[in-house]
Amino acid sequence: MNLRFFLAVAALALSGPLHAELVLITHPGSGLSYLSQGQVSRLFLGQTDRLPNGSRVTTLTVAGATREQFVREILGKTPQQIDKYWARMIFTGKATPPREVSAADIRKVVAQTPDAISYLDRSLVDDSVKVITLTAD
Amino acid sequence: MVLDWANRSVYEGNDWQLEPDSKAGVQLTYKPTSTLGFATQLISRGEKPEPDLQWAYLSWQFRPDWQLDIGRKRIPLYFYSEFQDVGTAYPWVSPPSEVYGWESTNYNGASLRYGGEWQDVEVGASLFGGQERVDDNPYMEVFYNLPTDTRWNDIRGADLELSRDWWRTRVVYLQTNTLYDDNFSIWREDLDAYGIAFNGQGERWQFLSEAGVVDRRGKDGGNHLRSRFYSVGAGYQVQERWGVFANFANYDEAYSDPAYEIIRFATTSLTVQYDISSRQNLKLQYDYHLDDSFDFTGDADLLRLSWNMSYWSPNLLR
Repeated sequence: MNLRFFLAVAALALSGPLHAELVLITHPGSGLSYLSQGQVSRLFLGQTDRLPNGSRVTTLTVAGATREQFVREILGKTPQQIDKYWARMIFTGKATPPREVSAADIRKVVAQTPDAISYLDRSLVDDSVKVITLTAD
Repeated sequence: MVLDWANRSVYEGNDWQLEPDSKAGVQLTYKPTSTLGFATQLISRGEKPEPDLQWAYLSWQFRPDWQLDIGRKRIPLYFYSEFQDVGTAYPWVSPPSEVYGWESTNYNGASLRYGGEWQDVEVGASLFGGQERVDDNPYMEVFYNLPTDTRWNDIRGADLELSRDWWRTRVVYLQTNTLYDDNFSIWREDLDAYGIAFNGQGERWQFLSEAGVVDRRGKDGGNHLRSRFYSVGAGYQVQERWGVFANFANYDEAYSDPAYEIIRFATTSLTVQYDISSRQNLKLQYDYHLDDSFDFTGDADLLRLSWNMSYWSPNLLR
């Protein structure tokens, strides 16, 4: 191993993990292929549990850092803003937040739930789940 | 200084006090099916430690966008009325008492609620109706220092809320026939309440505004009391965990009998908030209260430090 190669590997190791790309996922048998930004927001903010075609979906949120990344990048909110929103919804009885699943179990749960929608690091996606394309409004 | 009229939460004197703003609540929600549910909520307050039943209602989502609730609920009079006790949901230590504080805050009845979308605007609307009875009403005690039983009979109201992107607006109307009995006399009024709110929120900033009018007309002599009030505030998230919020609220009255001494007061406040987590925070708030009437409560400077926490488990809510 020459010095340049060693330095490149060392720099990569010391820079920390690359920023994970989140993708929306659903059951592999689902006919759903696209969701708009607005539709995703409505589903994960509890404003609806239906797709435009009327079919019901089950939204699942992932515990931990993945949830925070989803809230910031997909919903465009901070964790404080989203929890202030849920405090209002829960304590007025208007909506309940999605069921929470651990990062280790989310892929298995989505694979076993025909109408489930959730999100996952793209690098963890396999044939047991289907990726949904997120489109602009 | 009166902070919560409905529960007689008053700061008096110069000592540190825990009772006026302290409260703890628990809510249970049970959904045996995806369309049926039951919710109940109890709150214990520093001024009244015995748990008070805020909610106990059945809900039925009979269509995807429609829900019928029957039982006991909070009156959705102004924007924060339904969750006035949830300190993590707003930027003040407590919502401005110029706007929030009436003799009835709950009702026994039913509500029909719609939630949907129209032209990329989120739409929420409801019709509600019922009645409420409060014996030895704390609100009346603030004004008259006499045990007074109150009735809000035949409550009827409606609200409409629209939101999109950064803004949210709400209008509300409520009508009721009231009865007051202080063991010396009984008097009745027709009450009409109107309200409008416009709020905005960006990544770091927020703007909250609300205004309302309440008309009380005596059924006997026809005297007419009009209460007018508004609150406007703005805040900025200085850092991830630190935010500031400044607010001004005003209340005044007009009465058909010139002999009546009207009440007029205003509060300017500044709140600094530190987020321990997304569901737990500390708030330090300074209020300058100016009593511009007949020295109803007097002027006041108030410094409050509050700790607020909300907890919920998504998997226990279903």
